[in-house]
Amino acid sequence: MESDEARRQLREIERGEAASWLHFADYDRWQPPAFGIWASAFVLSLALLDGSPRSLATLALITAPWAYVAWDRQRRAVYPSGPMPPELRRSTWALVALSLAVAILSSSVYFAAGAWIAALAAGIATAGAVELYGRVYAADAERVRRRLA
Amino acid sequence: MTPAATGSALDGLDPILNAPKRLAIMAVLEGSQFAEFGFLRDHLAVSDSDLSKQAATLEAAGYLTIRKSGRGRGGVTSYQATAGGTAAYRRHRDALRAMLG
Repeated sequence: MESDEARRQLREIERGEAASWLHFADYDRWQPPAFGIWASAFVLSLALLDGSPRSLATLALITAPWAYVAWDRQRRAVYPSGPMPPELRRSTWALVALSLAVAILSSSVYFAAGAWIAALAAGIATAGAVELYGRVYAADAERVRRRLA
Repeated sequence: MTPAATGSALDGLDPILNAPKRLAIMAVLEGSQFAEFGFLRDHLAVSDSDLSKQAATLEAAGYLTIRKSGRGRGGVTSYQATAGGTAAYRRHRDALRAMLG
């Protein structure tokens, strides 16, 4: 096999392996507010409920993201797995950092201002974090597309 | 690269995956849990019949499984790489990389 042919095949391999990750860059407008509402509900369930209602609400809220992932997997034409293109690692780290920031912010506001203000802060911060993550991911995905074009 | 190394690299090349469209299908499946027919067709920019033919060849080789859900116009065909297919694909990819050093 000629080197040019090997290079062409490797390029096709890179394009193919990245395809599902690039498809994943599409996200719906309702997702940031939905995640925000989820975060607010989580804070309120932990702060205001006790006993069985609290356990049930917490269980339901913990289950919700798993249900979302299962539903999301079902509706997509392709679902990524394996190593992501290097450009997309930045958005993964952004997601981790933003999640930590939201958790710290929500806890701080809870101790300073109470449950309802903390729920509001958690909701707004989570919606903002999801929106920002979506934008960073989309920008990084565009960099991958340009590299592989 | 030494001739021995080149020979060794060539040994990993898979004749089934030397066809560009089949290689592209396996590359998409390598980065995916599954891929639907329409997604693969658009990615490869091929006709329905061409994709079906290439996928059937890969299925016959044991490289992927084909799952059909629903019937008629609403039916969805999806593809998933098998363990054997993934191994063959990775050998082929590694051989290509070894060839280029």
